[in-house]
Amino acid sequence: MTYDLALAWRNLRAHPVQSLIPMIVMALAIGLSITVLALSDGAKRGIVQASDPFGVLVVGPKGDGQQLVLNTILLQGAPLGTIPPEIYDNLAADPRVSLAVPLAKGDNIGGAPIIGTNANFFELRTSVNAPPAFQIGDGAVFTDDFQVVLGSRAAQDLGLHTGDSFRAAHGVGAGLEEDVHEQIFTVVGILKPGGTAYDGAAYTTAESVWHVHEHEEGEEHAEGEEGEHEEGEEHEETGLTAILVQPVGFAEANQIWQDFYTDTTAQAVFPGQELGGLFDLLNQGVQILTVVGYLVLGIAALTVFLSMYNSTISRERDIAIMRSVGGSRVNVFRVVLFETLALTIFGALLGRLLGYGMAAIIGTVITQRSAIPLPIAYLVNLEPLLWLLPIGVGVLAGLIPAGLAYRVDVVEKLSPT
Amino acid sequence: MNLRIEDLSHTYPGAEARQVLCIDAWALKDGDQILLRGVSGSGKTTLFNIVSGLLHPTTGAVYYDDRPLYGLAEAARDRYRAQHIGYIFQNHNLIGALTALENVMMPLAFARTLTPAAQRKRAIELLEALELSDYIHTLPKRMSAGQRLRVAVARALANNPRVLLADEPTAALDEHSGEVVIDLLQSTCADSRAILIVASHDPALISRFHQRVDLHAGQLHEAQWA
Repeated sequence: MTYDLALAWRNLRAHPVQSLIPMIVMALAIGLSITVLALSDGAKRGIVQASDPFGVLVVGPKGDGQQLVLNTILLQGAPLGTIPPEIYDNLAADPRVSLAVPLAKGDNIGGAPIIGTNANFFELRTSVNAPPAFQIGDGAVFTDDFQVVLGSRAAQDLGLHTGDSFRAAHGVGAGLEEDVHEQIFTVVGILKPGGTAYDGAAYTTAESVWHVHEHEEGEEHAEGEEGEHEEGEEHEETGLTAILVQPVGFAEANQIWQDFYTDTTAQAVFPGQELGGLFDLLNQGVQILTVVGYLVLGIAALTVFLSMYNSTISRERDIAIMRSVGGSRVNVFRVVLFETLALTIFGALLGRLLGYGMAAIIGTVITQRSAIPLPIAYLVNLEPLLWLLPIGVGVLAGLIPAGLAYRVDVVEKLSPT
Repeated sequence: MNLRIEDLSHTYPGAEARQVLCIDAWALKDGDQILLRGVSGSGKTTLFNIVSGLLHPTTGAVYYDDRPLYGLAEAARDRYRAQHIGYIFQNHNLIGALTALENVMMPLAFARTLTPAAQRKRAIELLEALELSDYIHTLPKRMSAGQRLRVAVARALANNPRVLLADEPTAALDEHSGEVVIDLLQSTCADSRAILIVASHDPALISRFHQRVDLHAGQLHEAQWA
């Protein structure tokens, strides 16, 4: 058996090109599957990790609950709108609520969203006994309007430090350079990295966000544009885009959710539920890509089979020589089967390097662009399957060529004529 | 070891089926060295293939020490061949992807009578004895025909066979190299009391064998040539 294995390895080394091609195809098949599975696994864990500190309920304007959660927790897309600050006042005073955090998304600095909130934001925790999720790494929490605490990645990307000043740009995304507000913000603190999308944002008081707009709107009014200003617009400018709510218990959470269910201006959603819907969508995509992965694996199996079949046909004389010097039919059968298995196993090994490598690169790029963490981890639960598949493919693809070797007519193949 | 053939005949199947071998009886004993001559198509290679256990005869039997070779299961026959029969093919039949050393080690590995280290040592000793020290790690395609033949000789001698079959062993060699090879075959077989059967047209070999037989139309005859 050991010699058969050594001989199989020697044969593969003797024909490097013929060996490498099926090996690479197998590596691509396994690599594709691993990339898709590792990224989907990373996306799920990243989203869970990113949503961990944000409480049990998110209260926001009526509309698509998933969009509310995505915009509030992952800072993706535009806000649904705003809700009156009185809702926050009521929730903050509600005995069923242990912590309420107002969020007012408005402007941005260099693409990093500026979020108006209050000191409660820095009390958010992943669990009751856990340390605060957003801790100051440098400087201090804002104590006055137009003071800003930067997320760690925002500070790094913008090149801003404690004590630096900047002017906010209008809107939630990076826009024209000249579309900036007059008001100057001063950086008073920088957060420690938290592994959430909030690392890429800037935090100030909600009033700062509102005042910037009120101030400029006042100027516009002074320039004689009152006619275009509709009733209630000022109210909208002082609205909140969401409120994070940590109820005192599960029953209270349900009660609050029920209260908002009949409300016409706001809704309460459970982030876990909404993200579950998102995962369902993600799973559908993964299922489609998994089918593609199986197809590629099938093509890889066919490539390995054809390669080994042709290789065995072209080596029938060598196989006959092996038999003539004492090798049995079982010996030559095993040599060809071991060669096929070696091709698929090394292909699977190479596929892992490719798969996890590609997933890590794509994950890093996605994290840089979206600020959603995408941790790539070893697929412990799927690894046995990801080994069994190529081994099964190797055995199936190798059986016919090994059978050919088994049936070689020694005398005919050794005949000089 | 005794080699005995009884009522042996072989007919290749097919539309033009014809009997290529018909031997009533032939017996050889330890230390016999036979020169077998016959024209092309006389049945020499068929006889060697049957005697080596590669080709099941149509009728008859081959006995080694009174045990019928074809009474063994195929796997056992393969092992028997590896351990006791050396076969030098007319066209050498070396595996092109393996070095000289690897080719010589192959029957040793299949015989499983020595450890891998001992197999390697034995193969190197044989190659050195055949003046191939510089070609141990060379592929057959980088060797001359004579060098390839010597590798084939080393491979056939690897397991100290009890029977050595050599099909035209000097055909590709110059006179000196031919003498070296025949010297080695004869002396090795004489030392180990192995049976040596050499099929050859080389007239230079006639004087070196006392036992000579002709194979004509598949039948054995006492040699009529001097």
